[in-house]
Amino acid sequence: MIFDINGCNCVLAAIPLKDALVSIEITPEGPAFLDDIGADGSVVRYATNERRATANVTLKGHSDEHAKLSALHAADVSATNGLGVVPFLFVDGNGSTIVSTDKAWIMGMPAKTFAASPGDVTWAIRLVLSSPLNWVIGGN
Amino acid sequence: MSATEFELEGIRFEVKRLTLEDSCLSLEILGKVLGPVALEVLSSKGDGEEPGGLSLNPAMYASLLATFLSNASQIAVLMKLFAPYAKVNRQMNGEYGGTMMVELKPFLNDVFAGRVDLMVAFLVVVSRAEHGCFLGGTNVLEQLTRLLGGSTSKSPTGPTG
Repeated sequence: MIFDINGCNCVLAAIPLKDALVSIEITPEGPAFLDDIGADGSVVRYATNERRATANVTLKGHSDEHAKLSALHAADVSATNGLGVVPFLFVDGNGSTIVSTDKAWIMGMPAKTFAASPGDVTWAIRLVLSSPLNWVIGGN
Repeated sequence: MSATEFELEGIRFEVKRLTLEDSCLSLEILGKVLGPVALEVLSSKGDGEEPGGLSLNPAMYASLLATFLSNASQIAVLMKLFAPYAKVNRQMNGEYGGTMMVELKPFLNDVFAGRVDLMVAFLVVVSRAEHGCFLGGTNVLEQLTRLLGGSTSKSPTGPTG
């Protein structure tokens, strides 16, 4: 089994997120199914049709990617025509994990702490997945 | 603040005017980059078709290339001076297609890496837009010398009275 973070590729709007990458965490916004129970104990399962997820990309404070992501977000806020909705891709080159969508955007400017060290900065990227097949957690 | 818009090889750029200090600094560095042909290049009328177009004779072009090779590092310095004032279009490939104008500075390497020719072309256009007034056209210095009763080609007249 081989896993190496350097073998993973994460790209947002043709911007490879590589320099000083710490971690990428992709979290669904909610479950795909919820359920309800009646007083008689009958259970109904219903689909939430939740297609949203959040990719939290953490970079070291000195990363070159911050300026690019800041520029992208600033242009998105100014555009008002949806041009900031861009493709997102994460692929594990040493495994079969893949997350891809053509509808992703930076949710907002991240928090940044200025101290003796530049610390870490986490960018929250909203993903809207058009198909369950676009999100596969695979092994290595 | 007015801006210059132009396109090179399908890449659109938009460059605002520089601040006072950066404008003077860019002129100084430009002089170093261009060397002896600085004045000819910057005051060249061009072919009138392309913005910032130049009309260079072969001897001038050769002299220009030689100067570039000697002062190539100054090209990067000049690029970094103009970069904060510039925007470039990026293909978004998104749901709604199209391109967006984003700040050039974070994407300098992406746009210009390995393309010194593109850098030079960019600098020629923005430099002529930034300094065109000083180096030619409506030059207030010419009006000043007329007010003083002389011309730029003659030696200054002595005081009267």
